[in-house]
Amino acid sequence: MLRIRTSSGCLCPKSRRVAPPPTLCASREREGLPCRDRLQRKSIALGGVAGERTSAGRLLVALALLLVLCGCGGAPNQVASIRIRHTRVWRVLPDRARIPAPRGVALGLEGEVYLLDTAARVQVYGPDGEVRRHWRMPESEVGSPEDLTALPDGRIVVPDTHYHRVITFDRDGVELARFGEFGRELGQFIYPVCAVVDDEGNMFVCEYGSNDRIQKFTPDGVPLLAFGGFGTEPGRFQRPSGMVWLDGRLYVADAANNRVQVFSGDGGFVGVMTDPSGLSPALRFPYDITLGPEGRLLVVEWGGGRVTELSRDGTVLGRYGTAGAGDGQFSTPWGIECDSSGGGRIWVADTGNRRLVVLDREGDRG
Amino acid sequence: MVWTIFLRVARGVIPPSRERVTVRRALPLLLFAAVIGGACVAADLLDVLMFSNRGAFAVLLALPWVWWIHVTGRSGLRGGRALAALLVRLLLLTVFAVLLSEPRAVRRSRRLSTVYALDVSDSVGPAATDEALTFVVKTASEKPEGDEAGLVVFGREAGVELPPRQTFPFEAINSRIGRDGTDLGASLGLAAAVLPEANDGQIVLISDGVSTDGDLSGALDEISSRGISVDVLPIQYDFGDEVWLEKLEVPRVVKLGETYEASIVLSSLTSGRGRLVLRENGKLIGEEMVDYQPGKNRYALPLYLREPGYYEYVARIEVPEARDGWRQNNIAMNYVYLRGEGRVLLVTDPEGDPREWEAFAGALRTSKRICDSQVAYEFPRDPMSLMPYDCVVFANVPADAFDVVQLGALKQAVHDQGTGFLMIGGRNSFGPGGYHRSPIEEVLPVTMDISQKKVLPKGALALILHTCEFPEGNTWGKRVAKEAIRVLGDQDEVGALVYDYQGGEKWLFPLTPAAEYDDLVKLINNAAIGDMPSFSATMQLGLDALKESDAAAKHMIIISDGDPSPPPPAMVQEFVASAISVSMVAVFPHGGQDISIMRSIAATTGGRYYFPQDPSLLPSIFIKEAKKLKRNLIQNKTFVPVVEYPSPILKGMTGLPELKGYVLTTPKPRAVTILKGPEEEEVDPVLSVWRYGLGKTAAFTSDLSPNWASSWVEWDRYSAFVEQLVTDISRTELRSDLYLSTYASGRTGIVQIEDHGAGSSYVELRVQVNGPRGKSVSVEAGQTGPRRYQGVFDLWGQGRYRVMVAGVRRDATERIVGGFVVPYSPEYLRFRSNPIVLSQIAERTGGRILTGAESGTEIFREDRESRTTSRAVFDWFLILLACLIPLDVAARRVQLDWGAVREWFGARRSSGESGETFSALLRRKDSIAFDRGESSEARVPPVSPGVEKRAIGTPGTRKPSSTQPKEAAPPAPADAVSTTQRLLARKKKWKDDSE
Repeated sequence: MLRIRTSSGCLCPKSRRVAPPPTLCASREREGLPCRDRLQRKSIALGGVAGERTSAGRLLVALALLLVLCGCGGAPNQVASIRIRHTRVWRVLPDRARIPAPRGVALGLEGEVYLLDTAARVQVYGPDGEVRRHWRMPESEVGSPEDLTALPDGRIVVPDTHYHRVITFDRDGVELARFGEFGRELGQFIYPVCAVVDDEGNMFVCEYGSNDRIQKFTPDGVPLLAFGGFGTEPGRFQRPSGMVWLDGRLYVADAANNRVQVFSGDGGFVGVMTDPSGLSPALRFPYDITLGPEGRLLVVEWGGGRVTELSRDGTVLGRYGTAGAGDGQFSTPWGIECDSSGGGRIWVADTGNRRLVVLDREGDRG
Repeated sequence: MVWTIFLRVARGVIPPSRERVTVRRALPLLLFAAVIGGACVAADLLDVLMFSNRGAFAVLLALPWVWWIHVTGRSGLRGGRALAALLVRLLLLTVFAVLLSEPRAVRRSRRLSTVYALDVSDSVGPAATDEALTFVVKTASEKPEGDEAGLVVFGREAGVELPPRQTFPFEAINSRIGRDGTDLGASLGLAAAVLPEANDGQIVLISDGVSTDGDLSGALDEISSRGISVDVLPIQYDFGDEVWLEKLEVPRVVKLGETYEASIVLSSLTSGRGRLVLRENGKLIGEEMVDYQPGKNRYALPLYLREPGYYEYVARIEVPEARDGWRQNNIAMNYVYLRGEGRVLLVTDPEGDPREWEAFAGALRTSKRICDSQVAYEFPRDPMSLMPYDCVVFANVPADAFDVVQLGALKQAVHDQGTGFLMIGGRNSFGPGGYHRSPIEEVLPVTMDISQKKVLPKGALALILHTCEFPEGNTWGKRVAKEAIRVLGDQDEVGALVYDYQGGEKWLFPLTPAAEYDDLVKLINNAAIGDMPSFSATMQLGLDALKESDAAAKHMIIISDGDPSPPPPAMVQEFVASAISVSMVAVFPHGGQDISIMRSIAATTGGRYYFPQDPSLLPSIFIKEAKKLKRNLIQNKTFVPVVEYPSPILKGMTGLPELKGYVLTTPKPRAVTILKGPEEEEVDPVLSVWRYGLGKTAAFTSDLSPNWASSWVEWDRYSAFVEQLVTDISRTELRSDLYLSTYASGRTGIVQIEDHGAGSSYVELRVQVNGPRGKSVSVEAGQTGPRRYQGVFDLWGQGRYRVMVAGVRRDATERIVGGFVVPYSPEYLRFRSNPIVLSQIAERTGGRILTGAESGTEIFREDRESRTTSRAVFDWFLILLACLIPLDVAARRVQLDWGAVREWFGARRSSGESGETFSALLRRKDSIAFDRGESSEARVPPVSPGVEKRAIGTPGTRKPSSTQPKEAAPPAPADAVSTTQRLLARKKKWKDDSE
């Protein structure tokens, strides 16, 4: 790449055998000009284009050099990191002699953050991370719920997973309504796990446990339709565990199929999220999905122990975290929430590590 | 001469300068030395780097010499390039010196690592343990973010629950440790061992301060030397009212039909009133309201023995809860063995068909032997309970019908008490019954391993272990996996699949011959079993491996709470198509309603579905499942057994009838095979016997029922055969003149032996004590009086102690067996905590005495020491050195044409030429020649236009040129001609002059 006189210079004794008549070459060099014929032969050797003296070969070589120097040559698929300015840990209140594992997280009104844990408690944090109050689910002997959703009017919806029903609370934990029972019919559930509402207040509830479908309910809890079903084919699910509603589209984290699927409001299958070139985002058990800043999507990967940011066309924009228990690591994270309007602060329910991790992105005002 | 050589060498090493050396020329050296030296000193002082071997810096004394060689101009370089070459060379030498000095990178930490050492021994009690755990969890959750918290629990042993980490994901205590003792020393030692050296460390000890085992002082010395402080949180209790039973004394020598007294020793700290109850083999035989006083109280209750046998007595004092501290110590146990006629115990399968053993039991009764029949669940768990039986018979009863304790009791009874044992074959016996690698296999004269056989039916088993969300769930999961592998034959293959939080779905170990049982057990013990979201990936891995296996029978077992997503139907069908059965074990499924998926998978693939309500049922389920692969050990062949070796068992037996099947086994080397199977080349034992310890055991691999042995049952010699077989292996009672008395006294066991022999021959006594946890000790029995001997040993916890005495005389050896029960842990004899010990621990280690009201920030104190740790960075400097060497060569030998480089990237080439390129050298030479009227061009032969153009690096072929013939000589160089002429002219002139 770099021309080294001792090996490829036209005036070295060995090169004389292939060099043009020295008179021509030497005369050009005496004039301070490079030997064109020699350069032309070099470009033929590198680029293989006869008789063409373009900068393409040089640029190619220069680019390769740049890549090697930057250390990027071996990882063409490497994705940029989500730039985090500051991380904090919000304490999960102990429950007698154990620290329950947080699973679901939701952002409510007035900056309050709601956290659901394996002790079947909903803890309410203030914007600074202090626990203001908490309440428990009505029953939890069989198992505790896995996710919760804060509605725009402040109500909290908890799909009570192991009791196969959905319960709505007010901000103080007073139960307002409940619907659903065990079963496979419309309006019945097996392991409901996540709920979201669309712009009209209709509620989508996803469930696994062999139903593996999404049901749509009116704001009054009347079942409208169901779509999906167990399977690996497009439009079907293996453990749908997180959803987000955005601009008339329902984005579903299809955990065991390691993908995010997109549906219309009437359950029509739109597609599986891939980038414009058809490349999969390479997710490992995406357990939850939420709306990030500027209409981007944030996915938390239970198996990957990381947060992945996707554009709406499926391009991976950045990732953060690895599996583990240290700083910048997550262990089987279940839930994610983002203050999409407030600068992009991210809350991750770091389930295996029993902590709620708060990530302040660069540019975050918080 | 020597001086001259020295000077010549010295001049070679330190050559004189060709030009004057000024101080300015030494500036690069001085600056380099200042910068590098300053950097090294600063790195050392600021604890960035430390150098283990500072003497190696003496190498730097060579720096001036390197500089001197440079300034004397030997390198032939000039200008900036010369400076660069010098600096690279100096750097090279410096890096070499640093490398030799063994550099280590230093890390400084202000983190505090805290390990809570929690006493969970019996004396602390569950309520105090819960309270202590609440304190631990609360303070650990309040700790500063960067600090680390860990948890060690201890009783008789210590175990790490959580190593110190920034997170504290505590759910429940999972360690299986003995709680009937306290070893403070071991717990502190373990807690100190898990503290990382990199951080300041402390231990928070939560205990009642009562230590029963171990070396506390030694552990404290070690902890103090490491600078670890121990904060102590005393668990305080002081029972003012406490009543306990010390002893239940029963007569050692009893006769049938006579009344005796059971003497109960009750101790109390205060006076009170309670109900004293006595039970015999579980039946209430006496009760009495008693008023007790402080100190020891003795009460007597009557005993009446109606028939010979083994009688276990349990006495209990019942007092109001408020008047007692520990209720666990209100019990005392003892036993009486009244020798009678020898019996045979026939053990049967609770799920078996009675026809399988009715003929055998009938034959025993015909032979006037007393035969007791028990189902496997009733089988005693204590070898002493087998004392009344001369022989035990397992009639086609599987191993999973027993627990390990029951099988261990039989093994001890055979080995130590001389009890005979017979296993009769069938579909649930030997290998197919799950006895491979069990205590019973050790006892029997045959082994279930048939790897030496020519016919080698093989099975393959894949286990999928999902996390079990109940206390000690993963411990159970591991245990059952080991149980399942244990049952398999050496040639069978087994693999285990888990979900690892770090690595996802993976093989814990792929399909591996079960002969590597010991290695597989280690892998299972160290496994991290995660909560998998879906069965699909692990089942697919298992399916692929099982399909590739050449095993005849293939099976998969999944243990799960039913939470993961099920596999796709297509995969289930692939299992069916590949004839791989899948059994599902649902453990504490959420809601109990989601079991339908697991059940349907099992039903579709031909496996079984289990929903145990108690984890203790899991091992037997897994043994039963693993046994599915062992069905191929059953040989359904009709044959007449061949007499391999004559035996008293076959006395009078002629014309043996045919048998219709048997179980494949392999005789052990010392065993005597009396009857063998139909194979001529191999010995398939049908009847083998051998001696195991004091007992004799037999294996009859066919059955003695109408199933395989219908011809035998109808045979007129059947009863005689059964009688002779049982008689051959039954225990024979030998008269002994030794009388044994054993009992526990406090923390010691007492063995007393009386020699009632008529003669005066000397007896040498050997006393062996087997106790809890499989531990056994030899006890010295010293003479305490005429024909009286006594031995004392330390007790090691709650449980049964069996004492075996062998009296060796000149003419014979007498054996006698006895024992006693320690019904409760010695921990329950502590009625007040020992805060003084805890205070001493805190004092010796510089720790604090806590009250339990502390917050996390008080536990994780701010006044902590910075810790520095170092690690070798030899590799870094080695890589740097390796990079510098070619750079050093390049700096001296390679000249870059920077103009060309610039032109490559589009810049215009500067008009000036480099002064140090080869072309410049040639131009300089040309100019000199030009001055002398010569030209280098004249010396360069013209290149033929016919020369083939080729890419650089490719071999070229030179074609003969028509215009420039190869043989044509180049024109004579002008300078060569003129020089010759000049030389010739001079020569001619010199000749002329000389002439």
